Amino acid sequence: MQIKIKSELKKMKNKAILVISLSLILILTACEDEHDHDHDKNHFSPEGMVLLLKDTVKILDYFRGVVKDTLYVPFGNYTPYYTVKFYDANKNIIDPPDEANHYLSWTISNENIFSVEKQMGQKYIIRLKGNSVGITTVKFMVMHGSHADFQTRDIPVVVR
Amino acid sequence: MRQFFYLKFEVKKILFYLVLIWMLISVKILSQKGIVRGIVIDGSNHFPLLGANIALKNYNLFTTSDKNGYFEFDKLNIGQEYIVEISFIGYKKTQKKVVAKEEDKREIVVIHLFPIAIELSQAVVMGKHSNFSIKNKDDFFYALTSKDLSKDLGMTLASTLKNLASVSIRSMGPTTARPILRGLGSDRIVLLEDGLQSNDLSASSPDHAVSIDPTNAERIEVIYGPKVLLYSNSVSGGAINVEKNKIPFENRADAIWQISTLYESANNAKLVGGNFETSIYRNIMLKIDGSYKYNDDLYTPTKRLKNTDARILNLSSGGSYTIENFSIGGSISFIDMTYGVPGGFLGAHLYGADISILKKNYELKGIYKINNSEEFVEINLARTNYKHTEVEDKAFLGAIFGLYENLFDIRYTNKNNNYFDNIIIGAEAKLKKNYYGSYVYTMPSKTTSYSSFIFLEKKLKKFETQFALRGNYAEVKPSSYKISRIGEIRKREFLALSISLASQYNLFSNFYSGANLSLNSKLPTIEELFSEGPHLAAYSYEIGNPSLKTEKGISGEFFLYWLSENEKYMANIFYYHYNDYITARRTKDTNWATLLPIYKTEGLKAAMYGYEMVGEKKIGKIKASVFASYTRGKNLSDNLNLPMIPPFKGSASIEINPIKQFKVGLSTVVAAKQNMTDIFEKDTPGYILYNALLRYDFFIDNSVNVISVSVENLTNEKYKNHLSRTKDAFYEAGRNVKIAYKISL
Repeated sequence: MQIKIKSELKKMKNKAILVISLSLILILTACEDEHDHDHDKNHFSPEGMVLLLKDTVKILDYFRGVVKDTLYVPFGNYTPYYTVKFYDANKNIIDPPDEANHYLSWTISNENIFSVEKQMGQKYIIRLKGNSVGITTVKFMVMHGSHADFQTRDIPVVVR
Repeated sequence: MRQFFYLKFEVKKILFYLVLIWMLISVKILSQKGIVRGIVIDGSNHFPLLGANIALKNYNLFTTSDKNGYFEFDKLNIGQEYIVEISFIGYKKTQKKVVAKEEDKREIVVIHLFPIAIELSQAVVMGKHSNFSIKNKDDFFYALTSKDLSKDLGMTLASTLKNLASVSIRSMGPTTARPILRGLGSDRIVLLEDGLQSNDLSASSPDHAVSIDPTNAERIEVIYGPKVLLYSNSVSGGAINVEKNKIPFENRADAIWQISTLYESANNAKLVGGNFETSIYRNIMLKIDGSYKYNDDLYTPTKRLKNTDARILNLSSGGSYTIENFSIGGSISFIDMTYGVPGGFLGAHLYGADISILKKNYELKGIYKINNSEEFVEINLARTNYKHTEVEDKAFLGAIFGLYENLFDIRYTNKNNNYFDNIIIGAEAKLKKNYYGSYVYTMPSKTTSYSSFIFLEKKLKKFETQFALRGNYAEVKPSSYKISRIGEIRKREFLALSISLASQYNLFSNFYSGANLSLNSKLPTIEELFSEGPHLAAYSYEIGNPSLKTEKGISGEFFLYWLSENEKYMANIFYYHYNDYITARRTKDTNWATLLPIYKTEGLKAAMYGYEMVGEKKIGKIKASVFASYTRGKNLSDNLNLPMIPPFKGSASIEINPIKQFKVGLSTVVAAKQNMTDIFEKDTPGYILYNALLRYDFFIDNSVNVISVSVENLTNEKYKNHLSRTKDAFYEAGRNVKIAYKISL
């Protein structure tokens, strides 16, 4: 009887070793692509944007989804350079983020009508150029790496 | 002289041996009788058939097949041809000519029996079902068998289940559909694949698709009541188990091929799927299954719903090895999904969002049968790697969600003991790691969870009872601690206990009455605790609540049902009451940096109640069915309605079998207007849809074939699903012609 029990236990032990070995193979092979993902916390979350001429005159005032202005661009010519600033939740003007992976971007509904250019060496100073007479829209974004931390609604642009 | 005698003796000796050999040969020849051995197999699923009647025609010899489908006739004349006639209720009677072989020849005749129609009569199906009528009730009212699936298969799990009374669909575009049961969603509904929890993030957000492909499912069941506690603490919601048998343990008598194809016109969807299963040396089983789906944008009655195209590839392979009482098996599977979420409306991206999901799953399972197949220990080890990326406006990487999970599960089952008809005792350990990237602020976290459970089943004459209890401890540990705008992000520990008791009494004949009482709990998810930022593809800015408590509730259900060969009727009423019901509610606020509406997770005092009614009657060649379901959700904390509760839903259908194996049907689906909405949630108008169905089952040699053609939304009705996050901007699918073909070899 004892011999039989011992033999059964031995069989079970072998089976257990088999299960554990296969489990380890499974877990080890499954772990190969596990890695930690950095959680970047430096997101920029303003509630509005303003375009300033000579740091004082408001050309565009955008706050909490409300666009108050239309951007006017001369046909065949450039506007002056505008400085891009932002509003915080209390509508205080704040500077743009200075981290290297933050930058200003934009999408234009019809790029044949106008274009945007940055001043050489400046991330948040821009001017607009009228390419053809017409009406279109532009949406500004503050990119953070590959995604937008901030975006405006579509802002009307008239080239005349 | 001596030599002569010696020679004479030798001759006699030789003659003696020759006579002896001749006698032995004669005895052997005379004693040897022919034998016919065979196996009877269900041609539709290739499982051995127990209890088939086998007759040797003209010889008055009869036998029945055993549990392996095996039978034999002995003492036959070797080399003589016989006609074997096999019959089994619900199957086509079959005859086969066989030649009796010598006993030591191991030839076995394989005989396939095919169902008279693939949809068997209920009497036959009931014959195969459990002695427990609670289980039969679940099978008849809450399950789709392989025959249902050949007709109801959809592109997603939710669309496959949509004809069940209690199922609604939450969606954000067609591919994201997730089933909702009795108005309950999120992780209150546990999605299982072969009894193991399917790990994905579909419960956490409406834009996250379910990562279970129903194409090669053998059966899908909705589980309510005590049995849910075998899988989860959330007994009030329920579980949906998709049986694919990725690890093939059941020994099929011979190899099986199944191929399914499906076409849908509303989004030019094409699906092809198949599986192959075979045994090697009767103790090694192998299975491969896979599917590929492709669909273009969905057409609504008014326009094309841009960016709703999808591509889904699903592959799985599994095998098992059996030595005496011990079986071990494993499977490797992956699903690769790419799909779009529509955009172009207020609060959404102009071009929508593109989502990619890659899920890899590794499973290992061991079964040790202690005495027989009624008592066994089962061990499961599983590992899931899940990664989900969202790209906005075709250009910017908006979000990364990832998940790793390791599971260890052990359970002991005894269906043959002195005290209960079924006992299942088990324990489970899980280690889960959630990580996030790009524009998602949710804190990466690790969750360690330990559960133990017991399930008991007992039948006493007309009285049946199921009881289950599950305890769960979980620790949620964020990668760093901080004081945030949403509260203190910190380690949380949760303790949960769920208990459920279901009893029913056979009032008379086939009429049963019963009730189900449960104490249930649900742990908050990582997203519900720590979300703090935009979820771009869901077009929402999500704010979690790090102080959420375990959701606790009590639920009760009372039911009556009748089950017979040609009729089935069921009615139930249910009531759920929750403290700290966890839900994300739309607020009046917008996040102005992202222009997304803010959804805030809260724990509310809430109540839900409603009913379900199902009826089906067959008269001759006509089958009529109806169902109705209704759920009301109340926010008792603020005396308001709960958000995202489906409206009343009803259906009536009629099916006619004008000729054998051919079926035509018409059905209508009704949804009432939903105006019991939360603040900042919009009403949804009601609708009526009409559908038509043609179905033909046929057999070619050893193959079972099913062709079905159905037209959904015949009148191209413009309608909206209350549980769709895009309902403000878009209608649901227009007229949709579905053509499905399935062959089993």
